[in-house]
Order: sequence, then structure tokens, then C-alpha cells
Amino acid sequence: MKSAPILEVSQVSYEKSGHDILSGITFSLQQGEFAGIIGPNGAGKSTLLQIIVGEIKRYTGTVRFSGRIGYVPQRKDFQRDFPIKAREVVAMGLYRRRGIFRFFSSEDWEECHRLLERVGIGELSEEPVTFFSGGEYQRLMLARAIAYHPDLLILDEPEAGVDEMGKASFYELLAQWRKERQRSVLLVSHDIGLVLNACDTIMCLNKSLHCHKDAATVSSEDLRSVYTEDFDILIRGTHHFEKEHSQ
Amino acid sequence: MKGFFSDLIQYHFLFLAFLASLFVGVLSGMLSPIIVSRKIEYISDGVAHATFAGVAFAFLISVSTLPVAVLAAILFAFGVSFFSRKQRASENNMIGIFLPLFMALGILFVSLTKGYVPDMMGFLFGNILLVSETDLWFLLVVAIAVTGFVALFFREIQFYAFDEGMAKHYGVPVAFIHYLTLLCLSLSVVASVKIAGVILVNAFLITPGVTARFVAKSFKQMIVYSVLLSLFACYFGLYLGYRLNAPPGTTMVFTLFGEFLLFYLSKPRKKPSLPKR
Repeated sequence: MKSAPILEVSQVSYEKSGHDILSGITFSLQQGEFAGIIGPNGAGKSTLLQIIVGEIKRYTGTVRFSGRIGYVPQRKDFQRDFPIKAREVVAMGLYRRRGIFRFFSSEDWEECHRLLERVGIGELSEEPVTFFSGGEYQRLMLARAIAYHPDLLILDEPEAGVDEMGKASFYELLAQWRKERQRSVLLVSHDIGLVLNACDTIMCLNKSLHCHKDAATVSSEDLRSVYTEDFDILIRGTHHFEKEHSQ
Repeated sequence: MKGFFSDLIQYHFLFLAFLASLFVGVLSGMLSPIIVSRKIEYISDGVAHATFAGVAFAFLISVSTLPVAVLAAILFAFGVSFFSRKQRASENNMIGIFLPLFMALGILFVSLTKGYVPDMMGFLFGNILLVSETDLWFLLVVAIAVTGFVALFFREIQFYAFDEGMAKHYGVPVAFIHYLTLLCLSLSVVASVKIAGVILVNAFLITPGVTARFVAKSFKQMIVYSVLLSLFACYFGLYLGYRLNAPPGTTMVFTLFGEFLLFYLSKPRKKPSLPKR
């Protein structure tokens, strides 16, 4: 498993309006690693992802990455009433390959359709995304991200607004893609049970990084260190953790 | 209707108004979906008011109004965008600051102008029947430029309008498209102001796009419907103005609003059935 890291984050700090959002974050991600970031609301999880993908520029420290990053942002960024077909959304992921002043070819459109089939929504290819359900929308975003042929896939709360069945099949799809392509995945989620099940490694974040370790070795103390007083409420709702990690 | 067409041929000013309606219909119909989707309606409103300052300044220094109005419009749109894209103040903050600033400058320039100050009412509310051949040429050039922009950069505009942040991530030159959009918007406002005036011009730049979105299933459809709605409103409004002896700018705006109401009330509110999975 140990190979040259594909992502290196070193001493990254970020403050906004005089408040520390992130402080001294350092970690690296190996080729093929599936890492999950967990932490309470306001811990800086999404901010860290935005720094890695380059959406936030005014931070201190360094982020080193070579290759392409596919990004699935939070659903709140979605413009619901914009009339755009599913295949056109996926085509955005192919844009860099095509470039300016050139039209998408029929092969490009076929590839978009294939990717939508790959994520299980091929029959919605010609449909406007306005009425997509949460699960369908997340699959669409995944298709767009993998159309980019990313070396690292970053997902920000992909399960938000998706029912239990939708979550399970989404994670299954993600695991399948990763297995086939041997790519790395960095995921932020509030669903601790799902993250512990799906990811190889876990990062516990609350403004600073409290741990970065194998999912199987994450202890209740690790979670308590980031969730502090909310930990007891959290642990009651995380059956998985009770079963797998209580001893 | 027959009398209207015979008058079109007979009266040169009415024929010019007919052609102006065609060009305004095309350019506002093309731009409106972009303005509405990118939610920059207030920039277009501000640009319209900024042209007032430009025209007043042109009167003050006794030069042609058109280039100064264009400069003022571009200065406003690019100024708002420059400050707000640095993310230290929102777009609405900057419009709220720039709009009264430009209006104040306009009022100051009018008060400083010595001698005869041309009627500003015509400028504020517009009059299509006063369109000159120079205005028409300018409208034609702007209509061609806007059509070319939309045709050439259709995909880029679509991605920018749908999700600017992710479009940038996937390599779409969003800043380039954004500033070209603002340039087209500024030119369109100045070109259309003679017809609708500062106050009413926004109806042309916003209403067709909103109405088209009710029925369009794709961005391409939205643009086509918007152009058709805009053209119909321009011609029907011109005809209504002729029949009722009312200012054509106002009857065009009423027609645009009528279209909006019709589509709004007939818009399906339920989720359509997507193909079975």
C-alpha cells in the first residue's frame, strides 16, 4: 500500500475575519488510499477540501498535488431551476480535454452517456436535472467527476439528502470505481458509520487534525477528541461504532 | 393591422422603429437567459442607471452621448464585478454603492451643464419613435456581436451560468466569459435605452429569460424561446402603441408582463415523470 504520496498537505492554516478555521493541518494521501474526514459542524472539513481543490487561495502552508482532482461539492451549490440535460452536466468534466473554440464531438456525447450508464442513470441522459432526486443528482455529480479522469476524487458530504438505500448503492459504486481504477478518494461526511465502513483511513478534524489512522483502529477516544461534548449524543446514533469498536 | 403595415412603409420613423424592435428583440432575448441564470439582474439595472451619468457628462462636455454612455456602462459593470469577485464585498453590496454614486454624478453633471439641457425624460423612459439611423446601426452591430458571442461560446456560457465554481474547476475560462457577458450587457443596455429608457430597459433584459425558463428543457431552448418571446413583445407592443396611441416602450413592457403571467399560470408545478429506472 505504501507508495509515493499523491497529495501532501503541510502546515495548512486558514483564518477568516480573525477566527481560526484551520490550524497547522499536515497529512499525506497515498496512491489508491480511500480516506474519510470526520468532525463536527464548523470543524473546517469543507474548508480543507476547498483549499485542496484551489477554491480558497488565501491560506498559509503548502498543498502539493500532481495530477487531476475530480470534485463532488455539497448539494447546496446546485442551481435547481437551470435547464440543463444530464449529459451536458457530465460534458463539463470533459471540457479541459476539448478546450475553447471547439465543439463536443459525437464520441464525447457517447462517452457522457456511457458514464451515466456506468453510475446507473443512463436512461436520464436526455432529461433536465431540475427534477432529479438527491440520489440521482449525486450519481450525476460522480459521473461528471469521473469524466475528468481524476487521479484523486474528492467528495464533500455526498450522502446529504440521500436516503439509506441511495447512500449504500452510491458507496458501492464509489468502491467499484476505485477498485477498477486504483485511484485515491478523499471524502468528508457526517455519517460516521458509513465512513468507518467504507474508508481505509480516517482523519478526525476539529480545526486541527487530531488523528489520521486506519479505520479499524479508530477508538472512541479519537472521536471524543473532536466531537467533545457532542460525543455521547453521537455515539448513541452510531450503532456501527457501538458494535465494532466499543471494546 | 393593414393600416399599421401601410404606415410602416409610408412613415420612415415607423420603419426605423420596426427595425429597432427586431434588433432589440434579438439582443435582449439572447442575453436575458444568461442574466437570469447567472442572477446578475441587479447589475443590468445598475448599468442602465449608470448610462444616465454617462449621458449627463456628455451633455456637460458637449460631445456625442453614445460613446460616453457606453464607457459609463462598462465602468459600472466592470467596477462592480472587480470589487465583488475579490470576495471582500458582495455583488449586491457593490451595486448598492455604485448605483447611487452614478446617479449622483448624473444629477451633478446635469446641474453643472450651462444653457440648454436636453429633456432627460425621453432618456429615462425612452421613445422608439425617435430612433435615428445612427442608433439603428449601433443596435445592429450590438445585436450581431451578442449573437456571435452566444453562438461561439454557447457551452462555456452554459457551464458558467449553471455552476460557475465547478466550471472553473473543470477548466472553463469563467472570468473571460463573465467579463464578455458584462461587456455585451453594457452595450445592450446603451443600445436599447433609446427604445425603453433607463427605467424600463430591464424588463427587456430580464422578463423574456424568466418566462422562457418556465417551459425550456435545455439552455438552448431557453435562448430560442426567450428570443421569440422578446420579438413578439417588441412587435405586438409596437402595434399596440400604434393602435392605442400610447408610448410603445410601455406597451412592450405590458406585453412582456402578459407573456410572463400566461406562462407562470400554465407552468406545471408537479414533478414530471422521469423514465423508469
